[in-house]
Amino acid sequence: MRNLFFAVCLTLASVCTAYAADFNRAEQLYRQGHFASALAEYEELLSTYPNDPFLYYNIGNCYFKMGVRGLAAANYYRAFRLAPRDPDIRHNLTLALESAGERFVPSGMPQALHQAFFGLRTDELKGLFILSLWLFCTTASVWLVKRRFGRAALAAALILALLGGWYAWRKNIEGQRLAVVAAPVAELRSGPGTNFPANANAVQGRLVIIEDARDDWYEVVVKSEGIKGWTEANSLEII
Amino acid sequence: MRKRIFLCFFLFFFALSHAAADLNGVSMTASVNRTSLTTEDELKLTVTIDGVATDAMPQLPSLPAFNVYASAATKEINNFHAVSTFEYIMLPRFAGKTLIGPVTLHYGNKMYQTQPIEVTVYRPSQAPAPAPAKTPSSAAKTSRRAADKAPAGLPPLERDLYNLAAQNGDKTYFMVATVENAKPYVNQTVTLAVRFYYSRPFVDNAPYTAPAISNLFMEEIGTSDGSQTISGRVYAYMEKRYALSGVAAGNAQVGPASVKYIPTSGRASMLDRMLALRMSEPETASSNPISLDIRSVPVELRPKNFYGAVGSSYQITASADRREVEAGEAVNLTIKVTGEGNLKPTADLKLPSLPGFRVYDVASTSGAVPSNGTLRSYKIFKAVIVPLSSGEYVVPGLFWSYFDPKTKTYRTLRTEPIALRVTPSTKEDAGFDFGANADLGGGFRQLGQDIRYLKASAAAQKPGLLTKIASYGWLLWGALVLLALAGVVALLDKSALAGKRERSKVLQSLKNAKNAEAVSDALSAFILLRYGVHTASLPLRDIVSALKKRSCPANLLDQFQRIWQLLDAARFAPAHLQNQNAQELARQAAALIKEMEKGSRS
Repeated sequence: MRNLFFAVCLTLASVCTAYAADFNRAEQLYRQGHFASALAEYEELLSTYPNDPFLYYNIGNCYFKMGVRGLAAANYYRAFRLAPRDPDIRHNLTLALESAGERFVPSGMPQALHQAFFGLRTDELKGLFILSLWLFCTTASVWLVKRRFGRAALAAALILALLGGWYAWRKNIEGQRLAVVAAPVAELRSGPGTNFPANANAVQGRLVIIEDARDDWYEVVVKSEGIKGWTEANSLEII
Repeated sequence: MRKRIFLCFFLFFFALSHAAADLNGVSMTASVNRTSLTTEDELKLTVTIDGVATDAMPQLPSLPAFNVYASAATKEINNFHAVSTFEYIMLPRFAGKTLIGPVTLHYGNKMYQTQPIEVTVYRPSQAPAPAPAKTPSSAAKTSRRAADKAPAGLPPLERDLYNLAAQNGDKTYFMVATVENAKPYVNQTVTLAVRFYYSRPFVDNAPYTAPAISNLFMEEIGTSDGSQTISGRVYAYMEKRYALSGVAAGNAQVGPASVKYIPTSGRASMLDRMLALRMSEPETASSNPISLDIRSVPVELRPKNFYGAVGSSYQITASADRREVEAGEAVNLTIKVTGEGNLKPTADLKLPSLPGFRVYDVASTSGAVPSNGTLRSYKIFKAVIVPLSSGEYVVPGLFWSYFDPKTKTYRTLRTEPIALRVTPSTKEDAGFDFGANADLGGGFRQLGQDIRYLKASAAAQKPGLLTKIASYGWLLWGALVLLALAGVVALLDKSALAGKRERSKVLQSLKNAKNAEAVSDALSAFILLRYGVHTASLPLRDIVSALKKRSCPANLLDQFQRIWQLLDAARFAPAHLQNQNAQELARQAAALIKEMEKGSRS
């Protein structure tokens, strides 16, 4: 049993060391300006660690340095979803979106409010919601059985409602199929085909919401302008 | 020295010109525009002197049958050969046959004479049916116009101009305009020709106003001049040609072009011309307006790469400013289209998505060049493409379509593919810069902005408490189960809960009791609640026996009896004593109630 424990520890340690070594090699390539090679290294690591926010962040950096702002923004956004409080991710995502004329913080919304709203990951928000539910259920149970802590139960209900609303809003936002224009220009047509006229162009890096799909075409809404149209699926990168 | 040479040359040419005149001989002829006329008609006598270089004037004979009220003179010199023409407008004074005597000219010690001309003047009512060739009545004019048909073999535009001019042949100055095709397609160029005809000279400064247009583009493609004989009268004309192209399907209009001119005599001196310019009111000749029916190009079989060009003989070429670049460097693509037609209003070429390249929007320039009476135009598209990574790339052939109105078909042109060799970039990324050189205050100056550097892996980071809680989905249901259980318990314990509430009410009323009666009422309420015994109007003995039956302990019964008796006594005590005893009795009653509560629990 003891030997087995040591074997498991040794395996884990070797895996972590290999991962760190790969990270270092990718960083060396990045520092030398071989962004495409660094990108390949990071993408290979991604298959092993799909939930590492900094891996997405680094991939975004490689794309940004290669001038592919659309894919850079898409990867920063993925990193942001996994680590919303990280200031570097927020900074780079803001830059990548602004390079395409897109705003990360909606106009008119205070920066602090935006940061507070996205201050917790959705799973963290879910955990907080569960905690508040427990608080409410406990105080409400005491009140039901003993008729005590009535005010505490009321306060817990209020907290629960607030957290529930926040969580539902965030879930709704994440339920939207968000994508970034990855092609140099995505033509927005009035129907799913090249026989329909193009009404607008969306440049690389613009955020769009996918509303419908037909074959290899997506119906999208350009978030910031509210323009709707159909574009080819290969011109978008779904986040 | 130079002056002397010039003088010699001048004298030599002067002598030569006179010698030439003498060698060629001087001749003079006289003619009238009609030999039969009425007293209301004008007669034009034309005297032509051939071979006289100086300003020699012919001498008219005595003309008692006419009043000469106007005259004009023109002179043309070609290769030292001069031809002077003198015109006299005369009105007959009376009817009858009359003879215009010989016109004489004294020149170079010689006298020249013309033949006499016989003219018959009628009264208006006596005017004979005129001979078609000699009496230009309106009927004659019509027949003459019919005869003034354009010669066979003329191009359609020339023929139309000729025929239009023939219809205006009775005017001295007039303008005509026509187009070669009144039903062109959108963007198809058609030639508009505007001619100003004149049979007599005018003051040189005659401003021309181009025609106004609607739903059309117009480019001037040339000017020319010439002459045309209409009804035996020689007209000179000046012509301007334009290339028109329709903007949109529907009706298009070409308004009248106009020339403001001041008629003058060819013989007039420079002074006379200047006086005429100052004294005379200008007259205006305007061309006829033209209506065009612009047609849309066919929708059937219209290619995807059709950008609106209509014409013929188009050619397309594509080139790159370099064939070998580093990744990230710009390559300028130039695509040039040339041909017969107007390319200015056509849409810009759209570059397809080029894998491996960042493609920027196409910018275009266009121009038109008149060529042999047609409009040749060009359009140059400039596009910037940036290869993203190294490798061998081929920019595929680009397609560009146009509609040929001659064959009424679409034609598609294709450029040659362009091979590009992209080498790895040797430059460092300059980064992204939004607010370069911004003063941040406090002695800091922002020079630029770039993305932040790489981050180490987050794989070693442990998940937080909230993440762990969220991962236990059953917790959500556990809380709800707890709440549900509490609800069930509360529901089941409803009666007990009501009893507790009542007891707490009793204890509260005991605390607030001011007299023995209130204490007695509170105790009665508790006895009823706890044991279900009504104490109202019952003697103590009956109450005690009822409590015994309900298993009230004996010691508590004794206490109850004692307190109850004290309460009875206190009720009848004086008021000031009641208040003092009531508090004590209430305390004792409360202690009893607690004991009874305990007894019930045990």
